[in-house]
Amino acid sequence: MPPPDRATVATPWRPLRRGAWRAATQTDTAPETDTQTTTRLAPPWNVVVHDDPVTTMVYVVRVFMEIFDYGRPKAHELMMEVHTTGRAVVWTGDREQAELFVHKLHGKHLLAHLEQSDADS
Amino acid sequence: MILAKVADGVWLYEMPAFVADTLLSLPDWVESDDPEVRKRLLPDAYADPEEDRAWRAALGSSLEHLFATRTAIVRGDLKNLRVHAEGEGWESGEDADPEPFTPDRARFSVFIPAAHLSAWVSTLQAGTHALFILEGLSAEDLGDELDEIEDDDRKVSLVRLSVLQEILVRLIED
Repeated sequence: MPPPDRATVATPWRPLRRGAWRAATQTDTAPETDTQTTTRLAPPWNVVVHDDPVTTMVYVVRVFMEIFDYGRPKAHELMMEVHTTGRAVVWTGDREQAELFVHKLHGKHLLAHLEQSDADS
Repeated sequence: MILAKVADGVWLYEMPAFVADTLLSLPDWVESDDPEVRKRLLPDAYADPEEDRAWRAALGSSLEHLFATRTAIVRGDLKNLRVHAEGEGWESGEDADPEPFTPDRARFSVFIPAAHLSAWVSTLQAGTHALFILEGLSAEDLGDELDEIEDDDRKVSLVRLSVLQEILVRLIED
């Protein structure tokens, strides 16, 4: 008796690509060729504010509330992070918006710069 | 010094000559061409020099223009600085002073229209940075008690700095 055609042999179980298992009684076909298109999102940017010796705490809170529309508790928390650690990421998002925020912060004389977020680098 | 918020703005009055002189100097400090002052008022936006150059080319001049406009507003308001005797109200004819006017009793007042408050706050903030740099102050200086400072010039600079900070904070207080 001739050997069974390889393409029609039934195997009890076989793994699928995604790791699941199924009863494999169906006919094998030619290997699939996957065409994958990867879309990478633009990396987010951080707006970083630095501490300085002369700016008062109340001024920093006011600026954070005004520019980012943060409530007083969040603005105060970020101000304290700047004050105690020397810097704080005050906003993360797309580059164009981050640049606009840094421009506004410079307009208020706070030390601020942009950096790419580690989360996507 | 008394700061009074009224419907159409803010009065600063009962200012001693030292406070008035500090305010009159404010625009010049902010417009100083000292490189360190310019660098602080127009700080880097990017760590990468190439990116930062592009940033400055695109937006640097708009910030310079913004700061110049604000400083001009403050300078204009300061042209209306008035002198009066200690204890005299800022309104014309109010609390007529019965005592003879002497220089040591001189007090100054200035009105900041509500529409100019934002320019004043920003210029005061810029002024604290400029003064700090121009007078060679350090963060350690700010923590010292005035009585412990022997250098009179340094002491005067610190008092001027605290005058600017105090006015700024009181302007933005709710």
